[in-house]
Amino acid sequence: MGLFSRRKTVYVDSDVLVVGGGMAGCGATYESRYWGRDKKVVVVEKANIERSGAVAQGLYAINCYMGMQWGENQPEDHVRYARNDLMGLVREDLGYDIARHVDATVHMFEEWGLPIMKDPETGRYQRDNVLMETGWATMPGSEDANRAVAKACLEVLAAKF
Amino acid sequence: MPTFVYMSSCDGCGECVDICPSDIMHIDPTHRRAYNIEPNFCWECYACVKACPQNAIDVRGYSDFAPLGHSVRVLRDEEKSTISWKIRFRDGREKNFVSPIRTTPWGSIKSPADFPEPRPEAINSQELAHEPQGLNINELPALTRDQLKQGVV
Repeated sequence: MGLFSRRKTVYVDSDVLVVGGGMAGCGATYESRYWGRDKKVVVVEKANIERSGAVAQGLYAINCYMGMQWGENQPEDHVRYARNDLMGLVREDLGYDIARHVDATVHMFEEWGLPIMKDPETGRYQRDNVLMETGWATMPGSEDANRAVAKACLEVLAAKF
Repeated sequence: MPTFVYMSSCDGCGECVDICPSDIMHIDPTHRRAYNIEPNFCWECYACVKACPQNAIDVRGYSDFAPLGHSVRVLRDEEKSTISWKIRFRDGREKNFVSPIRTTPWGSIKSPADFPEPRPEAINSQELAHEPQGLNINELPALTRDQLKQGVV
């Protein structure tokens, strides 16, 4: 009796297969359903989707919020920041692409219900005090970010295995 | 600072087994109660503490900075959509923190399939769903060809 001998193998066909159900995977799932209405989208996640991963991409999205609507940062600023942070070893085009889409993503998180701390006077998103000088790090007001987004993702999917 | 289970409160439902990212919360086959099989591998992420419907899981502080008599409890209330922390110090002082889980009701998020279908040619554009309106700016910033060749900035 091996460790895996009691496990069953389930075969699932899909048009779009998303590997990993963290913030990035849930986002990819959302996009897949938006653009491919008649496609079968399957997310595979090794753990529990409501508490998966380390919210790496998700927290990064919230941290690197541009604030383009207030003229705070532009995608070029993110490229400069990431290049400096990683000592030049970056794909600048990818850094640019992440940055130009991130505002819409964070706006969507907020619309879905992710609490974000705001400046009571200006209504702008508050930045973390420590990273204030760099102009980055928007403060999420929730400990439960992946659960909120995963719920949205589950509502998108037709079935849960 | 691993988790431990109050055996008298645990009913062996297995929520902690499902949620544990380290896979170290198991159900004891004899007593039908959850326990931490490998405290050294506990991340102290509090996922099981928040997930436990019986509030039967607690986290023990290391004795060098958390002396006997303290307690750190967390309650995740899905109905009120809040997470509350109660910190009790050894000298009896108590601090309470409440933060929201989300600002909208559970199940209220609109599926992307409920939005009007995008035009078929839109999939070739560089925009993601709900862009550019969702950006709150007029259009999605884009690089020009010469910028790609020379470096972005």
